[in-house]
Amino acid sequence: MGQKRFLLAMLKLIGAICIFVACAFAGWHQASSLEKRRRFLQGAHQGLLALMREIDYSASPMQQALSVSAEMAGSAGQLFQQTAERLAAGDGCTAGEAWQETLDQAADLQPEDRMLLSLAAEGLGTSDATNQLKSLELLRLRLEKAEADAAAEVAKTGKIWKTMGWGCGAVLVLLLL
Amino acid sequence: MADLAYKQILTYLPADLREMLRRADQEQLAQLEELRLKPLTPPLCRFSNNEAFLAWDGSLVAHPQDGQALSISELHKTVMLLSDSSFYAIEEELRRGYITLPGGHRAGLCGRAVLSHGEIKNLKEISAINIRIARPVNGLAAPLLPYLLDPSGRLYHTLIVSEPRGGKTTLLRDLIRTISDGDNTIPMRVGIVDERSELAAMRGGIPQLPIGIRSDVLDGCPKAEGINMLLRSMGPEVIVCDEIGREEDAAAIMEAVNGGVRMLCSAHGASKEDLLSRPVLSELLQQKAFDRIVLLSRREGPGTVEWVKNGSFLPC
Repeated sequence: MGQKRFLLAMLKLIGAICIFVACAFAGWHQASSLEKRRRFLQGAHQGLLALMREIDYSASPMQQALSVSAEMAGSAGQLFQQTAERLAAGDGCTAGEAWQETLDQAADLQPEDRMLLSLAAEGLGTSDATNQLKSLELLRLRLEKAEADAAAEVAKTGKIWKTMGWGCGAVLVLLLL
Repeated sequence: MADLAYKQILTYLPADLREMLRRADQEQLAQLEELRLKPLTPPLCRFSNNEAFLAWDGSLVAHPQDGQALSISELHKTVMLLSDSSFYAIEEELRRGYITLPGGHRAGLCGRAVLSHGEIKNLKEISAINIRIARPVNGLAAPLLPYLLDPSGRLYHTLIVSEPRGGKTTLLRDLIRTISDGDNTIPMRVGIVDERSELAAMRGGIPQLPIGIRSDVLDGCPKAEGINMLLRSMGPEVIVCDEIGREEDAAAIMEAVNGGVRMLCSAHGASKEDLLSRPVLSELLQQKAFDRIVLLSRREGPGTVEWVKNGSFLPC
């Protein structure tokens, strides 16, 4: 009889731990997806800055400029690298088309970020250095703002998600016990 | 090899045009010399002795209305592909009016010139593209060599003359390769002032056409400055210039001739009278700057040698 009670208590304890961990994980996951988005936007911003430097100072061909930028773009590096690889394939696509194709295939992008980055596809490599830099600067400013907004969201909502996660877990455990 | 030459430009063409060319008679396309593109007109293929428009099914037709017109967006896309999607990186090429492609092929461009301080700064609103297929012809210079080498085996100061598309650049290039590699001659150090990037077709520092192992190239450099730079820095035995004709060219050529360096040049012209009617060339000829003059024509195809004469226009 005592052993049965003990087993029941153990099961409840394990269940409570599972519920608590699951809720805390859900909260942490939400918070980390916000942080991941912030890092992606920061990477895209850095990559764009590198691309502008390559165009301005080296006048590097787009494929080479994108490859160099990929190294500076952190978690957005794949976007630049895959675009460069598409261009290198030489199957008749322009830099804008290659950029858009890469964006279309990036599954985990927020719709607003996808829309923002697709602005680059319109004029990538199509104008002289002065106009190219002007249009990329406009995009850079918008990316900078998006990055700042994302950082603010991480600071504000990220903590709430984490606290809510383990808080809800604790409340559920108490209610069920 | 000829077939391969034309296929090298396919990656620079939009998908539909590429497909039309793939459907076309490949044996005929192997002889393609120029592909001319304009918006709202069908692509024009120029061969050595004839030309034809390209139709949707790949057939080559005589009348433009039977061909497949190129759209404005396709022309713009071609420009983008020719620039490797790096319009900002080809400002110098646009200023000169052409882009050198891998393999030495060349895309000439027409459009609206953007001026700055009275000089062409850029081209915009591109309205026509002419892609010229480069085909090095090895061995073209061999029959001429006995006329162009002096008894000690060194090259005479030589001027090659022909009208446009007469084959003078092709002959000049093969002569460079021959004397630079020492192909049936004494090997010579050759300095090339390639102002129009036509002789070596440099791309990223690599010559796209065969110019021999002992050749040094000053790419995109004005001829007069280039000759002096080569004289000072590279110790050439032969200096090569394509399409001479400006006053400053003549002074630099005389400087090199008097300095003991052999000159190998080309110029536009279809006859002795053409040469003598051009003040700069006439002065150079009067000063006996050249020991050998070679006149080419297209009579039996590009590069037909009409005559080889000495500096006094006497047969040799």
